[in-house]
Amino acid sequence: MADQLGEPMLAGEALPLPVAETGAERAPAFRRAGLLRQRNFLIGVILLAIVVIPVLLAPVISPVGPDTQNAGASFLAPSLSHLSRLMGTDQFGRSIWARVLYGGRYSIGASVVVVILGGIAGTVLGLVAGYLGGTVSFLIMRVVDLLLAFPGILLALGVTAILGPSLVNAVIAVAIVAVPLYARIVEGAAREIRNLPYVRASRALGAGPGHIIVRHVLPGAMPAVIVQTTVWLGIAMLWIAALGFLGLGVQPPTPEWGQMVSDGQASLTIAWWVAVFPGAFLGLFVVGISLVGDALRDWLNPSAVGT
Amino acid sequence: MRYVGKRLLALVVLLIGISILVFLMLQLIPGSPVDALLGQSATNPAAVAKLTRELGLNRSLPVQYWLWLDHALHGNLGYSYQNQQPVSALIRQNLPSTLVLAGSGLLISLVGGIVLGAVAAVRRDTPADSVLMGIAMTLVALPSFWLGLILILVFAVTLPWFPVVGGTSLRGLILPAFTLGLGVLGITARFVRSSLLEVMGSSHVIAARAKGLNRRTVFIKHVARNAVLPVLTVVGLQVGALLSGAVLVETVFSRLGIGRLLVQSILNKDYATVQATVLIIAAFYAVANLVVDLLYPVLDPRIGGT
Repeated sequence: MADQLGEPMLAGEALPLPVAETGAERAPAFRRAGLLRQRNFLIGVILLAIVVIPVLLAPVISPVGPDTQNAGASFLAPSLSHLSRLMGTDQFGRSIWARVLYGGRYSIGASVVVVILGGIAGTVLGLVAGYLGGTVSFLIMRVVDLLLAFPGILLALGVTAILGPSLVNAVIAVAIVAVPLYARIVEGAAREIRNLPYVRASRALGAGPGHIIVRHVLPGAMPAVIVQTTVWLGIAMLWIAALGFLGLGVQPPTPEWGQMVSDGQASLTIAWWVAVFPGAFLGLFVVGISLVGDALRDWLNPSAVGT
Repeated sequence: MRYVGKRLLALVVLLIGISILVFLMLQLIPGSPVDALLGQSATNPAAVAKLTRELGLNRSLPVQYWLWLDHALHGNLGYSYQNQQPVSALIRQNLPSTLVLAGSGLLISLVGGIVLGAVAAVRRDTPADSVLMGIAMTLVALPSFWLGLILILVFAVTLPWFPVVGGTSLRGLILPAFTLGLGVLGITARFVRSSLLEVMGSSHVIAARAKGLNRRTVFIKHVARNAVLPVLTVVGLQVGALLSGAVLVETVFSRLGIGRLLVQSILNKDYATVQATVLIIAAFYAVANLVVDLLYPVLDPRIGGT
């Protein structure tokens, strides 16, 4: 195991990928076969399964709904006596277990939508800028640079200020932050691929830009996109949760992990479980997805093209 | 000198870009900018007329931008009707607290990250390495607002060592600073480890070992010095992570600061303050990165030559 935990780091910043791929640490090609044998990958998949499977099975394994109130049962401590009490109850007597499971659908669902929206928009921009070059590329990349000049969550906060607080707007805001990061990585890959001999051959045979981009450049940039998407699933979830926590994302009573932590802060001194469990599930998911992302990165070795 | 000049020029261009984007923000909000800025005071015709004239709203967009920029450069960032005071005064009250928090966070993350990363690099591929890097990854992955609550739970509620709400006292600074620093520490640690490993694999280090120098001397004289540069890069990145982390940490600890000011202004629809805080944070980030860029040639003469 040359590299236990390689780079992509969840800072939400534009991290310089080349530094991550130090010659000393790069996985040799023969390890490509062993994705399933990588310990990090397995640990990551197990962590993800621990979070995702219960969330998917929420209606089956939760005896009550996330909004079922029980006035007589407020702030009950976690107990094994009954499944709905596994993680205790909040001030309205709602089951935290049920809320964590159903809330996961919003947290995970929102992150998936973020990477789909941001990933597609950023990839298209990156492909166009990288392949066409010239003025178009210059303009796209300067806008990308400008968006990257806003640190982390600041851009998302700005967008939320314009659009107003809601789950959909939070998703749009975080997706907008993802666009320039995708665009930059794909642009680098595309710029490199367009000069490779097989692409030039294709052009010499009369293929148009559309055909070349879809058939040659996009597949070449895919490894970088896949790794970026894994990393961004985690970042998106953290930021959706952060917006929810700040009151700028999902609005109560909809359960979402970040918003639930904010709910629990008010009763932290008398009922720690209200805030602790949703945050723990969120943390497990992000650690799991980071481990998988690292392993995928070694395996696909996207630095071979671009970045 | 050409390097410095080019960097400075790039900074100016970037700042202009940032200011245009922040200016346009107000235009993108539904409704007229005057209504957005005045909030409830928008029913007062005199106030509306005065602000319309001040912002030059009856003139073209570039002129409006120029007026706005001119005001901003002269320290006039608008008036917060919700807070009944000039935005510049709000910024002055809140900025120092954020800088203290971010500075302490940076210190914690650098000291902790370098120690963690260096130990992991020296003990490469041992269980200690795996454990330390596992810790680093977990710290990065945990939501900072949640980590803050856990620290409050343990060190302010269970063990009553620190105040629950971070005041302006030094004791009130410790938990917020650690919350902020620990999140960023993981990034530093991984960066330090990989840059140390890269230097340790380079030929001059192998040569130094081969001529019989002991590990310790080699590490201090040949490895550590060359690993400083990548660590400087991570400091630049960290400034961004620290500033955006401060938004959350200040909210968790109800601490005075520009991040919390921004969140409150968004919630109160106090757009003048939103605009100003976004502008200040982005400008600060840009300048911090310039400082890092300018430090490179100081530490490595190969950069910025000619």
